[in-house]
Amino acid sequence: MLRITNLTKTYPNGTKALNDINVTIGSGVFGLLGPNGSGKSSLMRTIATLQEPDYGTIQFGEMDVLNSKEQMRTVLGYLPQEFGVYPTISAENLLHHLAVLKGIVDGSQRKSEVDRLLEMTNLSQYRKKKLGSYSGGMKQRFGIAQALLGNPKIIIVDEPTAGLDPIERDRFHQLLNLVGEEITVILSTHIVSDVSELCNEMAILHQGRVLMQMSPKAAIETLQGKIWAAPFSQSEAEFFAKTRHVISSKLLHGKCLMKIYSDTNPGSPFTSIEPSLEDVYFYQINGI
Amino acid sequence: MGSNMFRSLLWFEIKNRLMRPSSLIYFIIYFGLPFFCAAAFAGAFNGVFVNFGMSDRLSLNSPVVINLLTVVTSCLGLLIIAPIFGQSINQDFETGFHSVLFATPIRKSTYFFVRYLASFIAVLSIFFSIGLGIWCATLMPFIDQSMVGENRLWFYVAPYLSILIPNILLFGALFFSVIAICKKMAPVYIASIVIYMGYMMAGKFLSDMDNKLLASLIDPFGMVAMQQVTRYWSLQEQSTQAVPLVGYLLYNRLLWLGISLILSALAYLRFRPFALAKEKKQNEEAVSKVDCIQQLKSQCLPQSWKVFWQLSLSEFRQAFSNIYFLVILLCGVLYIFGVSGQLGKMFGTETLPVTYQVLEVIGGTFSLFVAIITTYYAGELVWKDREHRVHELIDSAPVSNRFLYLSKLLSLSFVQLFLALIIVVSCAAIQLFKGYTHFEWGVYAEHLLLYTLPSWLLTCVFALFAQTVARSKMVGHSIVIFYFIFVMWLPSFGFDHHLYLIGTLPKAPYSDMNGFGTSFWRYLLFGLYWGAFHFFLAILTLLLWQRGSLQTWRERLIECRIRMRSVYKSLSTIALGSWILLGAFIYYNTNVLNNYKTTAQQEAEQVDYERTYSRFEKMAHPDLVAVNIHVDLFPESQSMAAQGIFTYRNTSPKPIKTFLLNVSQKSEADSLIWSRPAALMQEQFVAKVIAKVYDLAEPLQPNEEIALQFTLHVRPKGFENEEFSKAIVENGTFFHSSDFFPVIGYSTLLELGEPQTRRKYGLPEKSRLADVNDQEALQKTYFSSEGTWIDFEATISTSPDQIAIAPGYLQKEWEANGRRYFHYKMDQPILPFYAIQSGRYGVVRDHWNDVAIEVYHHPGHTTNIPRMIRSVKSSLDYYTQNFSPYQFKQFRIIEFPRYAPFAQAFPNTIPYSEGLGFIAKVNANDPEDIDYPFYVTAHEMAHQWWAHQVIGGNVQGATMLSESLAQYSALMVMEKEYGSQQMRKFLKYELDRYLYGRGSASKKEKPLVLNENQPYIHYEKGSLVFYALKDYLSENVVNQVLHDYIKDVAFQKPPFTRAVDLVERFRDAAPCDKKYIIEDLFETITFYDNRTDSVQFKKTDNGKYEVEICSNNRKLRADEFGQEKEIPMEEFIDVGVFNHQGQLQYLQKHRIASGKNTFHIEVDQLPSKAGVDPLNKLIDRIPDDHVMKAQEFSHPRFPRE
Repeated sequence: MLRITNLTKTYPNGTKALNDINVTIGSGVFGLLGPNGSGKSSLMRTIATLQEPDYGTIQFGEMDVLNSKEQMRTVLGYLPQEFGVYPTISAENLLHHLAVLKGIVDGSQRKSEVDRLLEMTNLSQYRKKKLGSYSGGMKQRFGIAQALLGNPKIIIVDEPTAGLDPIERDRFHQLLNLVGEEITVILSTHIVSDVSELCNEMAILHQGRVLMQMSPKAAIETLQGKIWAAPFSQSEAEFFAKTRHVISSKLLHGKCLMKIYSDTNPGSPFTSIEPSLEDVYFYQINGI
Repeated sequence: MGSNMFRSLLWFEIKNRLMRPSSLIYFIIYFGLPFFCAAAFAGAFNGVFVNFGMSDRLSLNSPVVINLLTVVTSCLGLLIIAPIFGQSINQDFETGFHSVLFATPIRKSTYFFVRYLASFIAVLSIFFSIGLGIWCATLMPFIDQSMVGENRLWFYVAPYLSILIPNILLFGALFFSVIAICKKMAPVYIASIVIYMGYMMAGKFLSDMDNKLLASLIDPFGMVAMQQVTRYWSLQEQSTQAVPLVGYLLYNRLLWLGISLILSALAYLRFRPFALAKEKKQNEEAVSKVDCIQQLKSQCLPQSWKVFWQLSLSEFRQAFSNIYFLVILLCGVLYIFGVSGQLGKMFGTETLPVTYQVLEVIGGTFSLFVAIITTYYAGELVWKDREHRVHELIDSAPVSNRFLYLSKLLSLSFVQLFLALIIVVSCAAIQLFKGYTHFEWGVYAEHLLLYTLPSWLLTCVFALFAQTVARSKMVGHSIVIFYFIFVMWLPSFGFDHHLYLIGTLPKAPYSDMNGFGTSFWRYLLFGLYWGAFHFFLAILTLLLWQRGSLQTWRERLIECRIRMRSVYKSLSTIALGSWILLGAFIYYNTNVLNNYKTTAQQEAEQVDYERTYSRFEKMAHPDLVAVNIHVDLFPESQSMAAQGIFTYRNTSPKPIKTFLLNVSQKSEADSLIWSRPAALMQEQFVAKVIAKVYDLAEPLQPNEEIALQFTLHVRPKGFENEEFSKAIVENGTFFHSSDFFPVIGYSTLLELGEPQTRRKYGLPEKSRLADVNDQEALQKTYFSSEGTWIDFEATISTSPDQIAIAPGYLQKEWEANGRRYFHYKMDQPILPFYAIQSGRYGVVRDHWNDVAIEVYHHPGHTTNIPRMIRSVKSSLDYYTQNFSPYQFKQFRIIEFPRYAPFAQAFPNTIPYSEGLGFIAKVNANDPEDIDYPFYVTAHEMAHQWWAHQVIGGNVQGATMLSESLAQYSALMVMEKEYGSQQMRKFLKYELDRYLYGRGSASKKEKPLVLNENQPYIHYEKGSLVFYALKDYLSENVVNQVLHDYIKDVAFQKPPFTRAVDLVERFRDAAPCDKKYIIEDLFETITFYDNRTDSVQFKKTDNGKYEVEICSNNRKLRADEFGQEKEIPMEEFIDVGVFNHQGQLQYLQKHRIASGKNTFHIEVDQLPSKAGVDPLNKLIDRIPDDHVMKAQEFSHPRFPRE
């Protein structure tokens, strides 16, 4: 159980990256959804002990994370949003190196662990190749492999699927799902479908604040019967946008499909539609 | 568990480091450098003579040689210490691995320590190659085996312990700290520049002996400190002792250890793995450039020169927002001002900051920073966009490669122009700061625009080419750095032709008198030659310019073919064509007209000369007895026509039939006619002369005469590679008789001198100066084998605006055919040693009694003339009073261009270099500032007695009679003028140079009276010996001996006098109890080891002070290799007590025996310091432990009342 209380961080340039965050995260895959710049990475880095908050506490089980960073790191697996590798070293060697850093000193134990993770991430056949020659997807799988080293109790993955093709992304999701059966996985993303596919619990973060935290299912429930949609031409859409609580407007077959939030029936041409997690997301961040 | 993890991490790091190909390359380089240097030192390569300032009497594996080679190579090793230590942390931030790494439970201390230790081990493993390289060289069969001694492991290990390992630790800590704080490599490289700056500054500071400690401390390498520790080591010590960690070296190590510890602690505390890097600014710059291009694009002027101009300006502006560029620049400027205080120091006295001097000293050293900035900034220009990932935006803009490349080239040239301006401003500031306001802006402009910028520009082109060819910035930098090393090192290995030293131009030395002389045309031609080549390089760069994604070489060549338009084709053809044509023309000038020879070829010719003609050395030849020459000088065309009649007489008791005549290859003889039938038996162009062997039809009987009538001319023949004719120049002609005129007899000057080189060619050890008892050798003076005393007469004509001078008195001066004629004649015989000068002179006239004093000087150089004249007068006073009358009615000083840095005494005439005394800046307010124009003048003046009156026979010790006595005479005149305080400072320099000289000379050390023309003995030791002699015997006694001696031997006919004869007279004149000193000073190599151990005092009842001085005294004799042996002593040595004003209140000679001595002395004033031999009159290898601070007693021997 990870409990975050009153976490606040302001950067020297005045940006409030984290604004009184309070979240509780249990086991399974927890989704942290938010647009770019919402403070996801700041929160992730803070949980991963790589950044100091101004206020607030983080409690993992019995552990006070901010005051026992080294202890936290022994149970942590972290896949940063952006990370690099030594380009001239093979995946296997770098995993061994990181395994040592995570305290797996015994050689045979380390080897079986590394082999298992390479197998799990489908990298066995490329284990001897230099990391510099890896594709984006392979590098990301290497990233999750290193995060899983040393049986972590909590795994933090920061926007891991950005830039992956659909097949790689799917593979990655299955991997996370597998892992999430036993331990806490925090997944930050701006892609709504990542959350709807993987998570049983989620929070939406915007401008450094947590707007809501519940299960995706429950979140969708809250909008039941309140989302209405209608196709418009682009100029009509602009007109309507001024008078309605617009959640989103998307182009579909050259027409603008506008979704609005309304407790009551807004009348023609709007028709009621089944809400999706995406609607929840837009509903939250557009501040309606 | 923990240690297991530590080991495992360490092993990973080391493996990671050493498994790279670069490590192997480093290993090979740092194996190769010392290997080749060591082999060159031991004479492995013909024509290569490298001694690193060490005596070649040392074996290659003697500890000092191993030490120096190891340390010098390891200093170059900074080039790898910086990247290895820097990358150890930088790799995590550069790749972005840090975000994974620091989320693991690794501790900061483990991280730091593992990385540091791994880097240390990696560097040390690479540096292991240095010792290995030297050791391998000692095993090679192709080196001079006589230079290989016993290999001892300790000698190889010692430099690692004292210098190399501490340096890796120190610099490692420094770089490590910098990278930990900055997380970028550029500051690390700047730190290494700062380290080199410390070393260079230390070198500059050393020109003043008072700065020894400072210089030793500010050199982070510890090289200067190490040199100070070993500076006075005898050869014997140099070949048996490893350099110990003591004195200056120890202080240096402690200082830098402290600095690096503090820095490391700071770095450790401040290290924040996740502090945000500030990259925004640079991105903004890049964006602004993209904006610039995009904007221009929209204006539809994409290919216009406006784009080009905008781009160049934008690149140029970016240089100034680049913090590293500014920091390097700042380092350069700081360095300039740091060393400006040491301008041209001689004996600790500065020179005037004349424009060429500041430009050469300041501009010369600053050019190193220019090279660094050019290298660095070329890399930035080519790679910056790629690093900031804006290259795809820029490279896809509609701007041609031509503009992209040329804008970078132009902005780099702007940067250089800016640097040149910095030089001008700094130099002028220094001049102003030193109160010198004669600004010669024209000279600045000429120097920088004409002689400096063009060669910098060539470097620009090359650097951009290298960066374009390379596939990464680091590779590009390496290419440029190795290019610099290559063109700087090759010349010292004998490959010095500018035709193949890419982008190098011959030097164009400037002289106030002669400007750049004729070197301009040569410079221009070489400039055009390399200009054409670099133009081709520029086209090549353009064709290979990397645009968009990096391509493989195959792709680049295909691309290159596509880009090759006809205009490029024809331009490269023109460039290459003119390069080849110019090259051919230069080759014709330097190698055909001027017969360019490599060092090896020259050596071979000298060997040939010696082998073929040395049979004439012992054979009598007719002696020169009269010279009558008519010389027409044409300074404007650097040419001359001369006719002359040389009269020779057979002064030997036997008839002469065959003899040798050497005619300089620099002149062309039109006719050589002997007054008696003589057949030319042999003629050979060899060793810079034409050797002619004549056979007389009828032998020349004793006392019969023969005359040689010759006409010859000298015309400049094209130009040479590096040398240029300094003899006949536009203004300031100065040449010796032997430069152009025929010289009779075998010339030993043409032989190879270096013992090592001689061994290599299988020549016997050079016949040393003849034994003192060699009667045959005493028939000739040591000055010249041509003859003894000659009659001299010369008529010289020159341009109407010049004055021509030769020894003798002016008989007549007239003008005819638009030329000016001077007829000189000497009224008494002189030595066959004369020079001819001509220049546009101002003349200062004065007189002493009936002796006319004339100073012919360059119109601007008047500052020190009063000093010179004062010196002439004081000298005449002293010498005529104490020695003998002055034999001439006139004394002349004539300035000549600074191509050579000396003054030389000819009969009544002293050519005096403009670089020597004319621009000295003697601070009249500083009683310690040595007035060396005064000293040099007094020395040369003294030669009118000690050379031109008394001349020694050609045997050992001959130079004592001229040089040492001239030193003594000058010292006496100087002491009279400036007091004994200045003498002490002067003698301090003399002692320093003597002690250093004996440890680095290649000939065996001899006692003064038997010295074999060894400058450090006859000048420096000579000064010390005669000053001590005067102290022991008194000035009067010494001068009386000299007076009597001159009376007996002046203007002597053969056999000539010897130094031993004079020394015998000193012995006779010495009182019985001081006769031993003659043996110590003149006849042996004797050292004193006087040391004061304690000085205590107490106040006595009568208000005076009783001082107790305890000392330890030893006397040592050294053999010619410096092996010392203690001998018992029982003699008189000064004991002195200083008061608090720094004056000696007590100075008396006490009888002192070997071992511990105690003296009780009563003085009136409170004592400050006291000791044995407080004025360093005796030669002592540790001169600074004679005097100690006096302390109020605490000793039981003085019971408290």
